[in-house]
Amino acid sequence: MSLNILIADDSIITRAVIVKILGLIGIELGEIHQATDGRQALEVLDRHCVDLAFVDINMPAMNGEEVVEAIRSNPLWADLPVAVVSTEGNEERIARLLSMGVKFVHKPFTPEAIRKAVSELIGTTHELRV
Amino acid sequence: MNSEFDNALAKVTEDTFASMAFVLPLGEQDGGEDDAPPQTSASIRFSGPFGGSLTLSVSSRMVAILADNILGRAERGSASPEEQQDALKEILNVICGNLLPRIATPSDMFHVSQPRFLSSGDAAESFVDGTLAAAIAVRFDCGRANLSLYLDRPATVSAA
Repeated sequence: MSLNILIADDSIITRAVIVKILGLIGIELGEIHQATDGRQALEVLDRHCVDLAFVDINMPAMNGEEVVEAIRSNPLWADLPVAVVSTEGNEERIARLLSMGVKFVHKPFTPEAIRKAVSELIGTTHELRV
Repeated sequence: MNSEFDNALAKVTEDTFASMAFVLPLGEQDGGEDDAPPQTSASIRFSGPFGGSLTLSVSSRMVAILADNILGRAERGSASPEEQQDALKEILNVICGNLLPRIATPSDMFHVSQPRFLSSGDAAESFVDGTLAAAIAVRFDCGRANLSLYLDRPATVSAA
């Protein structure tokens, strides 16, 4: 089964690298939706069926923590697997995000870190490489 | 300026360039492949327990190599100008995000602005907040990176 992915990050480069890594680790990719800020990310979720989301914290318009809060408080999206990919170093904020059921991937990230997060989020139904 | 800040900034810079763009720092004795003056810059501001700004400058040739490497493109010069600017901004964003816990504590919360690419018409001075706390030049196998850290009040390097 292919997965529809949302990648919300204001960096074109980071979005491109995540897409590349997902291909490398053997995810069967369906639609790939990209958002450059938090509001766009929620608009994508409103319009499309998404199976897995990658969300940066430091984004314009609406930050990643607010996006995760919006996702978890909407019954339609509450169970969406989310990986937060960020340079965030504040322990309290990271703990708050983890308590909302996301996986945290610290920037700079390796393909292995992305694979591990994906595996923990959806791995039981997908065979991953690397 | 504070040598502990210089060391912390150099370590985070080396680690970030190596992890993201696969370029390695040169030792004192190593000859540089490209010692062209840095002429491409980006700046980022932060606020929290203390505020300030961080500026990163590299040569035009080096920023093209960094973007190609991050994107995993073997053909040199294939990254677009937009991708090159974004690569410089994202590297700076990652350096800043990893530096702040070292010069503060992991419990300190910072707000980090969107990194901004400085075009030739921008006055670098207008992105300076506070006094100069660290200024380093790190030589890599594809060129030199200059970084300047400005802080609006004194801070100390944490053990992290």
